[in-house]
Amino acid sequence: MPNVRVYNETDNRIYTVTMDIFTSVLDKVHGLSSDGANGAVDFYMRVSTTMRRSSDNSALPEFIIRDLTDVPPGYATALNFTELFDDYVEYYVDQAELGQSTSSSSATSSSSSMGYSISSMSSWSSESSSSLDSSSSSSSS
Amino acid sequence: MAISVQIYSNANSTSRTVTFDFVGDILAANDADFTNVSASCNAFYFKVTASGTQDNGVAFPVKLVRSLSDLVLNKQKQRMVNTANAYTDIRSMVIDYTYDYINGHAANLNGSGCTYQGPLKFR
Repeated sequence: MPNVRVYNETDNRIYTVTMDIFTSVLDKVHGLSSDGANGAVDFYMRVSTTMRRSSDNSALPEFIIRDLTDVPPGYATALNFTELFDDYVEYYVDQAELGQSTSSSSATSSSSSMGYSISSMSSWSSESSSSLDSSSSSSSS
Repeated sequence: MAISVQIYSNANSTSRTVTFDFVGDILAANDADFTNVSASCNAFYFKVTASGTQDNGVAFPVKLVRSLSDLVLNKQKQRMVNTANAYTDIRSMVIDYTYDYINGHAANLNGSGCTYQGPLKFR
């Protein structure tokens, strides 16, 4: 399960974007027949983030991905899963308005114009998961 | 979290699993990207593995699926139908890869240029 960690200089917090594969019965969503010969089990991915909108602190939506056309709103079809994930990270950062300072003085500095950085990436390990969990809980508090 | 598709052999009363994990890593095969500042070295992809071996005892190679156009037969053709079309969705990709593990394939099946792969060994 890959997590991208996004460090925001403005509030000194680390946010995560997570994308993972799932399987379940989603016939009502996907339009599959629950008793059809092909079965109703679906395989899909879910992408979510710990970022929140800066304007009202509301949560950003989780997305279900079934193919490479399931891109963030306004984005073109992705060529591969790397591009797809990168698009979601960019979308979430944009929606959360990370790196956009309210200070006019900092807005003129070169560092504030790039006030976030995708600092690292981890996958699977319980160690990294627990640290991410703690960072996400702290970020949401 | 990965997903595992379990396959049960009624004749042998044994099960095998095909596992699909979505991961993000730096791929060694992408070493050219390290010299290209505009490219990301990180790649996100499915890593497909199978428990057990082929019926000749040879281990299955790990398969990477970086796009829905990475078809199971040498990235060129789908297994269940003779087509070079990309998978329509993740579900059809999972089903086709699982089918290929169970049944194996002949060399150059459907003109894909693939090498022989034996079926999943249950006994």
